[in-house]
Amino acid sequence: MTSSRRRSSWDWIDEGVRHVENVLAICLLAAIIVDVLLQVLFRYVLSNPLSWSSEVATYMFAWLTLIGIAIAQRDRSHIEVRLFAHLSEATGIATAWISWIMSFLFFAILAVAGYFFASGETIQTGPASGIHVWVVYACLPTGAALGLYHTLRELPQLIRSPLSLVSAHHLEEVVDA
Amino acid sequence: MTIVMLTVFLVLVIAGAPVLVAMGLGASAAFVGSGLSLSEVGRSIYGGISVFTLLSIPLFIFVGQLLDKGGMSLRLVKFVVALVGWLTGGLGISVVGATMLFSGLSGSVNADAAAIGSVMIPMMVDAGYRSAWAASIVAAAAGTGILIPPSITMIVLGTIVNLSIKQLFLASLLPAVLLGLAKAVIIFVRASTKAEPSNERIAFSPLDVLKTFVGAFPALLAPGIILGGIVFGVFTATEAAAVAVFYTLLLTVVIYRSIAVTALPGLLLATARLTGVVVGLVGIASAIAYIFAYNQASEALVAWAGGYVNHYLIFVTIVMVLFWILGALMDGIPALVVLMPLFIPIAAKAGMSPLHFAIFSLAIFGISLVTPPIGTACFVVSAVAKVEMRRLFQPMTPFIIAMFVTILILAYFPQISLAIPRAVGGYIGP
Repeated sequence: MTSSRRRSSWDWIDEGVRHVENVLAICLLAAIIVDVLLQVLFRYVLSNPLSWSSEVATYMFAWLTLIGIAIAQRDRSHIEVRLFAHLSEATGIATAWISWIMSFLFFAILAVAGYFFASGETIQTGPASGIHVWVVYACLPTGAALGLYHTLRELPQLIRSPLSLVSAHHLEEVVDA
Repeated sequence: MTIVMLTVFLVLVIAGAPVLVAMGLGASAAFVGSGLSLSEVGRSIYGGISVFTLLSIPLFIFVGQLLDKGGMSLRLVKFVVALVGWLTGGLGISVVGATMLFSGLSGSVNADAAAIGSVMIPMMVDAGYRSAWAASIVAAAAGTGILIPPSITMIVLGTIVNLSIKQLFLASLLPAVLLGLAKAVIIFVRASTKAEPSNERIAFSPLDVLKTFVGAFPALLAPGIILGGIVFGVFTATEAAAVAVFYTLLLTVVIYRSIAVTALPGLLLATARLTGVVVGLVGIASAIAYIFAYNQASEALVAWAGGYVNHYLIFVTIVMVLFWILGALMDGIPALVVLMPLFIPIAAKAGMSPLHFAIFSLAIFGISLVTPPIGTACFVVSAVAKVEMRRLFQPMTPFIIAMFVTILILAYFPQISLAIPRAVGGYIGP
């Protein structure tokens, strides 16, 4: 009873995180496309180039990339070379655990490194846009924290059935995409 | 320190950690070991990502998604089959041609293999091809994709080593055609000697060629806009990509109405995810390139291997084998970002100009991506064709040999890469 209630509240949080990531990624990419098209329009058609467009587009792109890294972690789309995963059950389980522990370490280090980097830049602003650069740099710790969250959420499945994490699922995604 | 990092990376990748993770941990270890702070890791990753030229990557991926989902890959296939399908082994040769046209649009080897494979593998199997042979043809054809403009791999490369994107695009044209021809010859020979059964009965009809060309022309215009815009210096790569997005949206959503507006968020999301995979690797790889530079790894490599590179053939052979293996382990783009800055000085010492060396290396990474059992294109085709990976070894072998022979020719005749940039691109280098 309690466990099912706990699971459903986790589901609710998962759904919320997923939704926020998706909306952010879609809006950022759409905004980048519009921004660069405006840049082309103003430079080549109206002969009145925008000063801020490429700077703002680059900022949005940094955020898009880090959110994309988190989404790829969530959807298990990062590239892996699985030489030993299918040799035996033992190597499969070992691969799943190594992959999980290393991913956990990586996102944790990236979150800390990103935090130190972003928090060290509290005064500087972008030359053309006037945007505080820490707002942009914050993409690193944010994306890494989201990646860490998705990694942690895999732990129950890893403990229950490690082999299900090293099956060939990501290939079907490639073919779907 | 360089050795420590490479060891950490290779051990982790082989043990099954994601490539991004293995590279990131290897880089972090090297930063800490070199006495740099973690915040420097963040700075170098951010620095590697926040490059305006790289924005063209999601835009190109999105164009490829729109054209594929909008049915344009099918139009290309029909045109190429009408054009060369009547030859012996014609369907297989069509795959090579269609992939070359489609890679110009999609910019991703795996997307090429998936898009062309899902259409053409069933066609080939219906015409009596063994499914492993059909799958191998698709994989082999996809390998040349990174050498066909406007490939995102070339954009990353140009950004990392400061080569002009325009020169790279121009330099890749002849080598890409040569590699395509080499594969077509293999397919033709295997089919006409009956080493591989094939039984397509496609009659050549000029009217069909014309009709299918008219059908495919709007799709062919998309890479035309990009290439033309960049080569004639009208647009930067990113601006050209945005214009191509605008054009393909107009084509697929408004004119043909083959994509519903409600499907766009899904395609944007898939593009964002792939951007995370590709550009994430570029970011981490920049941190690795930074630590190489910090530890003067390139100078160390020249000092250490300098004695051996006096002989061109030895240099070429070592690079071919090393890049082939590392490219398969790391995937094309990260291998490129890590290895190119390291090797360009030693290549120059061996007598290969940076532009020539770039094309030569891209061609090798093209083999890495299609080498079973770890080349990513092989995963894609084995999933599409439902063929086990181990059944791809035998049919892939002639293609891989043909590609290596072609690359040796590229290494010994720099003019194949440099003639077009010299003639129309204003290239004045060696």
